[in-house]
Amino acid sequence: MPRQKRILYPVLFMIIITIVFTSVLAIVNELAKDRIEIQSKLKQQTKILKTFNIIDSSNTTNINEQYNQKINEKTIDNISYFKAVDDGKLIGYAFIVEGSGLWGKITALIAFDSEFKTILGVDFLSHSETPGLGGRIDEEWFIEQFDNILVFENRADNLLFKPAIGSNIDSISGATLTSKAVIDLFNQQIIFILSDIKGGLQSE
Amino acid sequence: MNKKVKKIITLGIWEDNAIFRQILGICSALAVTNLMMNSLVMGLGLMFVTAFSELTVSLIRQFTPKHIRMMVQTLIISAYVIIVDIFLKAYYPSISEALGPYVGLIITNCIIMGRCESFAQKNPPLYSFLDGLASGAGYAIILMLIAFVRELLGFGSLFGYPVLGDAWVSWTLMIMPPGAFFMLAIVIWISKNIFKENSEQGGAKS
Repeated sequence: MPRQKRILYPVLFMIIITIVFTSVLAIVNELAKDRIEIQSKLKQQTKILKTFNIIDSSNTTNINEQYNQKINEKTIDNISYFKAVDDGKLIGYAFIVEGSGLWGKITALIAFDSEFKTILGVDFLSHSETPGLGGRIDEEWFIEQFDNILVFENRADNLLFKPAIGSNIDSISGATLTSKAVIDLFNQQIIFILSDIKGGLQSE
Repeated sequence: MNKKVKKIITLGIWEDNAIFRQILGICSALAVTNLMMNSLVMGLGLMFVTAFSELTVSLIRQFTPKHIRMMVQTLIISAYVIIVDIFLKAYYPSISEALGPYVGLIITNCIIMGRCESFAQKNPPLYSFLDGLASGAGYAIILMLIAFVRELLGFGSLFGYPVLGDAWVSWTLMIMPPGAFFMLAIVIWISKNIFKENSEQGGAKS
Protein backbone atom coordinates (compact mmCIF):
# COMPACT_ATOMS: atom_id res chain seq x y z
CA MET A 1 0.00 0.00 0.00
CA PRO A 2 1.46 3.39 -0.94
CA ARG A 3 2.37 5.57 1.97
CA GLN A 4 0.07 8.49 2.54
CA LYS A 5 1.78 11.82 1.85
CA ARG A 6 1.68 14.19 4.75
CA ILE A 7 -0.09 17.44 3.93
CA LEU A 8 0.16 19.69 6.95
CA TYR A 9 3.91 19.58 7.50
CA PRO A 10 4.95 20.41 3.91
CA VAL A 11 2.48 23.28 3.73
CA LEU A 12 3.66 24.71 7.03
CA PHE A 13 7.28 24.21 6.03
CA MET A 14 6.76 26.03 2.75
CA ILE A 15 4.93 28.90 4.42
CA ILE A 16 7.62 29.34 7.04
CA ILE A 17 10.51 29.19 4.59
CA THR A 18 8.75 31.63 2.27
CA ILE A 19 8.23 34.07 5.11
CA VAL A 20 11.87 33.78 6.15
CA PHE A 21 13.27 34.41 2.67
CA THR A 22 10.80 37.14 1.82
CA SER A 23 11.65 39.03 4.97
CA VAL A 24 15.38 38.69 4.30
CA LEU A 25 14.84 40.09 0.81
CA ALA A 26 12.63 42.87 2.12
CA ILE A 27 15.36 43.91 4.55
CA VAL A 28 18.07 43.80 1.87
CA ASN A 29 15.87 45.77 -0.47
CA GLU A 30 15.13 48.36 2.21
CA LEU A 31 18.84 48.77 2.96
CA ALA A 32 19.76 49.19 -0.70
CA LYS A 33 16.80 51.33 -1.73
CA ASP A 34 18.32 54.70 -0.94
CA ARG A 35 21.57 53.85 -2.65
CA ILE A 36 19.83 52.64 -5.80
CA GLU A 37 17.72 55.80 -5.79
CA ILE A 38 20.84 57.95 -5.50
CA GLN A 39 22.59 56.03 -8.27
CA SER A 40 19.76 56.35 -10.74
CA LYS A 41 19.26 60.02 -9.90
CA LEU A 42 22.95 60.70 -10.35
CA LYS A 43 22.89 58.95 -13.69
CA GLN A 44 19.97 60.99 -14.91
CA GLN A 45 21.51 64.24 -13.69
CA THR A 46 24.79 63.47 -15.44
CA LYS A 47 22.96 62.75 -18.65
CA ILE A 48 20.88 65.93 -18.48
CA LEU A 49 23.98 68.04 -17.92
CA LYS A 50 25.69 66.21 -20.75
CA THR A 51 22.90 66.75 -23.28
CA PHE A 52 23.07 70.49 -22.58
CA ASN A 53 26.82 70.20 -22.93
CA ILE A 54 27.38 72.18 -19.74
CA ILE A 55 28.89 69.40 -17.68
CA ASP A 56 32.17 70.12 -15.97
CA SER A 57 33.75 66.76 -16.68
CA SER A 58 36.95 67.63 -14.85
CA ASN A 59 35.04 67.24 -11.62
CA THR A 60 32.61 64.34 -11.52
CA THR A 61 32.26 64.25 -7.75
CA ASN A 62 29.96 67.27 -7.54
CA ILE A 63 27.44 66.35 -10.24
CA ASN A 64 24.61 66.93 -7.81
CA GLU A 65 25.89 70.44 -7.01
CA GLN A 66 26.38 71.35 -10.66
CA TYR A 67 22.92 70.06 -11.43
CA ASN A 68 21.20 72.07 -8.72
CA GLN A 69 23.06 75.16 -9.82
CA LYS A 70 22.27 74.95 -13.51
CA ILE A 71 19.08 72.96 -14.01
CA ASN A 72 15.50 73.81 -13.04
CA GLU A 73 12.89 71.09 -13.15
CA LYS A 74 9.50 72.49 -14.14
CA THR A 75 6.21 71.40 -15.68
CA ILE A 76 3.97 72.89 -18.31
CA ASP A 77 0.62 71.38 -19.32
CA ASN A 78 1.52 68.31 -17.24
CA ILE A 79 4.69 67.82 -19.24
CA SER A 80 7.83 68.09 -17.17
CA TYR A 81 10.90 69.69 -18.64
CA PHE A 82 14.35 70.81 -17.59
CA LYS A 83 15.47 74.39 -18.01
CA ALA A 84 19.21 74.99 -18.11
CA VAL A 85 20.80 78.27 -17.04
CA ASP A 86 24.56 78.70 -16.98
CA ASP A 87 26.21 81.91 -15.74
CA GLY A 88 22.84 83.68 -15.81
CA LYS A 89 22.35 82.85 -19.46
CA LEU A 90 19.46 80.67 -20.65
CA ILE A 91 20.94 77.65 -22.40
CA GLY A 92 17.83 75.75 -23.40
CA TYR A 93 15.19 73.19 -22.53
CA ALA A 94 15.29 69.41 -22.28
CA PHE A 95 12.46 66.89 -22.33
CA ILE A 96 12.11 63.24 -21.45
CA VAL A 97 10.54 61.44 -24.38
CA GLU A 98 9.32 57.87 -24.69
CA GLY A 99 8.58 55.51 -27.53
CA SER A 100 8.81 51.90 -28.53
CA GLY A 101 12.07 50.40 -29.67
CA LEU A 102 12.63 47.02 -31.24
CA TRP A 103 12.22 45.04 -28.00
CA GLY A 104 10.71 47.47 -25.55
CA LYS A 105 10.26 51.00 -24.37
CA ILE A 106 13.00 53.51 -25.05
CA THR A 107 13.22 56.50 -22.74
CA ALA A 108 15.35 59.30 -24.08
CA LEU A 109 16.35 62.87 -23.34
CA ILE A 110 16.35 65.60 -25.94
CA ALA A 111 17.64 69.13 -25.36
CA PHE A 112 16.92 72.21 -27.49
CA ASP A 113 18.50 75.64 -27.44
CA SER A 114 16.49 78.54 -26.00
CA GLU A 115 15.09 79.44 -29.45
CA PHE A 116 14.14 75.84 -30.35
CA LYS A 117 16.18 76.10 -33.51
CA THR A 118 18.73 73.36 -32.91
CA ILE A 119 19.06 70.18 -30.94
CA LEU A 120 21.75 70.61 -28.29
CA GLY A 121 22.04 66.92 -27.66
CA VAL A 122 20.22 63.68 -26.94
CA ASP A 123 20.80 60.75 -24.63
CA PHE A 124 19.08 57.53 -23.66
CA LEU A 125 17.90 56.99 -20.12
CA SER A 126 16.71 53.43 -20.53
CA HIS A 127 16.14 50.90 -23.28
CA SER A 128 16.16 47.15 -23.78
CA GLU A 129 17.73 46.83 -27.22
CA THR A 130 20.02 43.92 -28.14
CA PRO A 131 23.36 44.31 -26.35
CA GLY A 132 26.16 44.81 -28.84
CA LEU A 133 23.80 45.69 -31.69
CA GLY A 134 20.83 47.97 -31.00
CA GLY A 135 22.30 48.55 -27.56
CA ARG A 136 24.98 50.60 -29.24
CA ILE A 137 22.62 53.58 -29.33
CA ASP A 138 24.21 54.28 -25.96
CA GLU A 139 27.60 54.78 -27.56
CA GLU A 140 29.11 58.21 -27.74
CA TRP A 141 29.55 58.32 -31.52
CA PHE A 142 25.88 57.66 -32.12
CA ILE A 143 24.63 60.18 -29.57
CA GLU A 144 27.06 62.87 -30.70
CA GLN A 145 25.59 62.86 -34.19
CA PHE A 146 22.47 64.59 -32.90
CA ASP A 147 24.36 67.62 -31.59
CA ASN A 148 23.62 70.93 -33.30
CA ILE A 149 21.11 69.62 -35.81
CA LEU A 150 18.73 72.32 -37.04
CA VAL A 151 15.04 71.55 -36.55
CA PHE A 152 11.97 72.94 -38.26
CA GLU A 153 8.39 72.78 -37.09
CA ASN A 154 6.98 72.04 -40.53
CA ARG A 155 9.39 69.26 -41.41
CA ALA A 156 8.37 65.68 -40.62
CA ASP A 157 11.85 64.21 -40.96
CA ASN A 158 14.16 66.54 -39.13
CA LEU A 159 16.38 63.53 -38.58
CA LEU A 160 17.17 61.42 -41.61
CA PHE A 161 19.56 58.58 -42.28
CA LYS A 162 22.52 58.99 -44.55
CA PRO A 163 22.98 58.89 -47.50
CA ALA A 164 19.61 60.50 -48.40
CA ILE A 165 19.59 64.16 -49.44
CA GLY A 166 19.53 66.43 -46.41
CA SER A 167 20.39 63.53 -44.15
CA ASN A 168 22.31 63.89 -40.93
CA ILE A 169 22.47 60.62 -39.00
CA ASP A 170 24.43 57.42 -39.58
CA SER A 171 22.37 54.40 -38.64
CA ILE A 172 23.93 51.51 -36.76
CA SER A 173 24.82 48.64 -39.05
CA GLY A 174 23.34 45.40 -37.81
CA ALA A 175 20.65 47.32 -35.91
CA THR A 176 18.46 48.73 -38.64
CA LEU A 177 15.21 48.38 -36.75
CA THR A 178 16.49 49.94 -33.56
CA SER A 179 18.01 52.84 -35.49
CA LYS A 180 14.74 53.40 -37.28
CA ALA A 181 12.74 53.22 -34.06
CA VAL A 182 15.01 55.82 -32.46
CA ILE A 183 14.78 58.23 -35.38
CA ASP A 184 11.00 57.87 -35.60
CA LEU A 185 10.69 58.47 -31.89
CA PHE A 186 12.74 61.65 -32.03
CA ASN A 187 11.11 62.96 -35.21
CA GLN A 188 7.64 62.56 -33.74
CA GLN A 189 8.59 64.15 -30.45
CA ILE A 190 10.42 67.05 -32.11
CA ILE A 191 7.31 68.00 -34.06
CA PHE A 192 5.17 67.63 -30.96
CA ILE A 193 7.49 69.76 -28.82
CA LEU A 194 7.93 72.44 -31.48
CA SER A 195 4.24 72.77 -32.28
CA ASP A 196 2.60 72.20 -28.91
CA ILE A 197 5.04 73.10 -26.16
CA LYS A 198 7.42 75.67 -27.58
CA GLY A 199 4.92 78.54 -27.64
CA GLY A 200 3.94 78.05 -24.02
CA LEU A 201 7.55 78.02 -22.87
CA GLN A 202 8.65 81.07 -24.77
CA SER A 203 5.73 83.21 -23.66
CA GLU A 204 6.48 82.34 -20.04
CA MET B 1 44.23 19.00 1.16
CA ASN B 2 41.42 16.68 2.03
CA LYS B 3 40.83 14.09 -0.69
CA LYS B 4 37.13 14.77 -0.99
CA VAL B 5 37.69 18.51 -1.27
CA LYS B 6 40.16 17.92 -4.08
CA LYS B 7 37.73 15.65 -5.86
CA ILE B 8 34.89 18.19 -5.62
CA ILE B 9 37.08 20.89 -7.11
CA THR B 10 38.43 18.86 -10.01
CA LEU B 11 34.98 17.48 -10.79
CA GLY B 12 33.34 20.89 -10.73
CA ILE B 13 35.94 22.72 -12.76
CA TRP B 14 37.12 20.04 -15.13
CA GLU B 15 35.78 16.49 -15.27
CA ASP B 16 32.14 17.33 -14.69
CA ASN B 17 32.31 20.90 -15.96
CA ALA B 18 28.79 22.20 -16.20
CA ILE B 19 29.13 23.59 -19.69
CA PHE B 20 31.24 21.24 -21.75
CA ARG B 21 30.59 18.00 -19.86
CA GLN B 22 27.01 18.38 -18.67
CA ILE B 23 25.87 20.89 -21.31
CA LEU B 24 24.04 22.86 -18.64
CA GLY B 25 23.63 26.61 -18.37
CA ILE B 26 24.44 27.18 -22.00
CA CYS B 27 21.64 29.68 -22.58
CA SER B 28 23.40 32.31 -20.54
CA ALA B 29 26.75 31.14 -21.89
CA LEU B 30 25.45 32.05 -25.34
CA ALA B 31 23.86 35.31 -24.24
CA VAL B 32 26.38 37.23 -22.16
CA THR B 33 29.69 36.18 -23.68
CA ASN B 34 30.08 39.04 -26.15
CA LEU B 35 32.01 41.09 -23.57
CA MET B 36 34.55 39.79 -21.05
CA MET B 37 33.39 42.12 -18.28
CA ASN B 38 29.82 40.85 -18.57
CA SER B 39 31.00 37.27 -18.50
CA LEU B 40 33.17 37.87 -15.46
CA VAL B 41 30.34 39.45 -13.47
CA MET B 42 27.92 36.77 -14.62
CA GLY B 43 30.39 34.06 -13.60
CA LEU B 44 30.96 35.58 -10.18
CA GLY B 45 27.23 36.04 -9.71
CA LEU B 46 26.62 32.42 -10.56
CA MET B 47 29.39 31.23 -8.21
CA PHE B 48 27.83 33.22 -5.39
CA VAL B 49 24.31 31.99 -6.06
CA THR B 50 25.27 28.35 -6.58
CA ALA B 51 27.48 28.23 -3.49
CA PHE B 52 24.98 29.82 -1.13
CA SER B 53 21.97 28.01 -2.58
CA GLU B 54 23.73 24.70 -2.12
CA LEU B 55 24.75 25.68 1.39
CA THR B 56 21.18 26.57 2.31
CA VAL B 57 19.64 23.54 0.63
CA SER B 58 22.13 21.33 2.42
CA LEU B 59 21.50 22.97 5.80
CA ILE B 60 17.77 22.36 5.65
CA ARG B 61 17.89 19.07 3.74
CA GLN B 62 16.88 16.95 6.74
CA PHE B 63 13.79 19.03 7.39
CA THR B 64 12.65 19.45 3.78
CA PRO B 65 9.82 17.10 2.78
CA LYS B 66 11.08 15.21 -0.27
CA HIS B 67 8.15 15.93 -2.57
CA ILE B 68 8.27 19.72 -2.21
CA ARG B 69 12.05 20.03 -2.40
CA MET B 70 11.96 21.55 -5.90
CA MET B 71 9.74 24.39 -4.73
CA VAL B 72 12.01 25.02 -1.79
CA GLN B 73 15.10 25.03 -4.01
CA THR B 74 13.57 27.45 -6.48
CA LEU B 75 12.63 29.77 -3.65
CA ILE B 76 16.15 29.69 -2.21
CA ILE B 77 17.79 30.24 -5.59
CA SER B 78 15.50 33.16 -6.45
CA ALA B 79 16.22 34.83 -3.14
CA TYR B 80 19.97 34.77 -3.74
CA VAL B 81 19.62 35.93 -7.32
CA ILE B 82 17.56 38.91 -6.20
CA ILE B 83 20.26 39.75 -3.65
CA VAL B 84 22.88 39.72 -6.44
CA ASP B 85 20.64 41.89 -8.59
CA ILE B 86 20.09 44.44 -5.82
CA PHE B 87 23.80 44.48 -4.99
CA LEU B 88 24.77 45.20 -8.59
CA LYS B 89 22.14 47.90 -8.92
CA ALA B 90 23.30 49.63 -5.75
CA TYR B 91 27.07 49.42 -6.18
CA TYR B 92 27.82 48.74 -9.84
CA PRO B 93 24.97 50.39 -11.77
CA SER B 94 26.88 50.41 -15.05
CA ILE B 95 27.47 46.66 -14.99
CA SER B 96 23.94 46.01 -13.85
CA GLU B 97 22.78 47.96 -16.85
CA ALA B 98 25.07 46.12 -19.24
CA LEU B 99 23.87 42.72 -18.06
CA GLY B 100 20.25 43.81 -18.21
CA PRO B 101 17.83 40.96 -17.71
CA TYR B 102 20.51 38.26 -17.59
CA VAL B 103 21.16 38.69 -13.89
CA GLY B 104 17.55 37.88 -13.13
CA LEU B 105 17.76 34.94 -15.48
CA ILE B 106 20.43 33.28 -13.30
CA ILE B 107 17.37 31.82 -11.56
CA THR B 108 16.66 29.68 -14.58
CA ASN B 109 20.24 28.45 -14.86
CA CYS B 110 20.10 24.68 -14.77
CA ILE B 111 23.51 24.40 -13.12
CA ILE B 112 22.23 25.72 -9.81
CA MET B 113 19.19 23.52 -9.59
CA GLY B 114 21.18 20.58 -10.93
CA ARG B 115 23.82 20.91 -8.23
CA CYS B 116 21.27 21.53 -5.48
CA GLU B 117 19.38 18.43 -6.50
CA SER B 118 22.27 16.08 -7.18
CA PHE B 119 24.80 17.22 -4.61
CA ALA B 120 23.43 19.44 -1.86
CA GLN B 121 20.54 17.07 -1.10
CA LYS B 122 22.97 14.34 -0.09
CA ASN B 123 26.03 16.12 1.28
CA PRO B 124 26.95 18.17 4.35
CA PRO B 125 26.82 21.99 4.11
CA LEU B 126 30.52 22.79 3.79
CA TYR B 127 31.11 20.32 0.98
CA SER B 128 27.99 21.61 -0.74
CA PHE B 129 29.20 25.17 -0.48
CA LEU B 130 32.53 24.17 -1.97
CA ASP B 131 30.83 22.20 -4.73
CA GLY B 132 28.82 25.30 -5.60
CA LEU B 133 31.97 27.38 -5.82
CA ALA B 134 33.71 24.78 -7.98
CA SER B 135 30.79 24.32 -10.37
CA GLY B 136 30.34 28.06 -10.62
CA ALA B 137 34.05 28.50 -11.29
CA GLY B 138 33.91 25.89 -14.03
CA TYR B 139 31.08 27.83 -15.63
CA ALA B 140 32.83 31.18 -15.18
CA ILE B 141 36.08 29.93 -16.71
CA ILE B 142 34.38 28.65 -19.85
CA LEU B 143 32.38 31.86 -20.16
CA MET B 144 35.54 33.93 -19.92
CA LEU B 145 37.22 31.71 -22.48
CA ILE B 146 34.40 32.13 -24.99
CA ALA B 147 34.10 35.85 -24.25
CA PHE B 148 37.85 36.27 -24.74
CA VAL B 149 37.64 35.06 -28.32
CA ARG B 150 34.34 36.78 -29.08
CA GLU B 151 35.32 40.18 -27.71
CA LEU B 152 38.79 40.00 -29.25
CA LEU B 153 37.51 39.19 -32.72
CA GLY B 154 34.22 41.04 -32.48
CA PHE B 155 35.40 44.33 -30.98
CA GLY B 156 39.18 44.08 -31.13
CA SER B 157 39.26 44.73 -27.40
CA LEU B 158 39.59 42.93 -24.06
CA PHE B 159 37.65 44.15 -21.01
CA GLY B 160 36.86 47.21 -23.12
CA TYR B 161 40.51 48.13 -23.74
CA PRO B 162 41.37 48.12 -27.43
CA VAL B 163 44.21 45.69 -28.09
CA LEU B 164 44.11 45.00 -31.79
CA GLY B 165 44.35 48.62 -32.94
CA ASP B 166 42.40 50.59 -35.51
CA ALA B 167 43.48 48.49 -38.46
CA TRP B 168 41.51 45.54 -37.10
CA VAL B 169 38.22 44.95 -38.91
CA SER B 170 35.76 43.65 -36.35
CA TRP B 171 33.95 40.42 -37.08
CA THR B 172 30.38 41.46 -36.40
CA LEU B 173 29.44 37.80 -36.63
CA MET B 174 31.30 37.08 -33.40
CA ILE B 175 29.20 39.43 -31.29
CA MET B 176 25.97 38.24 -32.83
CA PRO B 177 24.29 35.06 -31.56
CA PRO B 178 25.83 32.80 -34.26
CA GLY B 179 29.29 33.68 -32.95
CA ALA B 180 28.32 32.28 -29.58
CA PHE B 181 27.04 29.05 -31.13
CA PHE B 182 30.22 28.54 -33.11
CA MET B 183 32.46 29.17 -30.12
CA LEU B 184 30.47 26.96 -27.80
CA ALA B 185 30.43 24.19 -30.36
CA ILE B 186 34.20 24.42 -30.72
CA VAL B 187 34.69 24.24 -26.95
CA ILE B 188 32.45 21.19 -26.69
CA TRP B 189 34.10 19.56 -29.70
CA ILE B 190 37.56 19.96 -28.19
CA SER B 191 36.46 18.69 -24.79
CA LYS B 192 34.75 15.75 -26.41
CA ASN B 193 38.07 14.76 -27.92
CA ILE B 194 39.94 15.22 -24.66
CA PHE B 195 37.47 13.02 -22.81
CA LYS B 196 37.15 10.48 -25.60
CA GLU B 197 38.06 7.35 -23.69
CA ASN B 198 35.80 8.17 -20.83
CA SER B 199 32.73 8.53 -23.00
CA GLU B 200 33.48 5.38 -24.95
CA GLN B 201 33.32 3.48 -21.70
CA GLY B 202 29.85 4.83 -21.31
CA GLY B 203 30.75 7.55 -18.84
CA ALA B 204 28.90 10.47 -20.34
CA LYS B 205 26.39 8.91 -22.64
CA SER B 206 22.94 10.31 -22.39
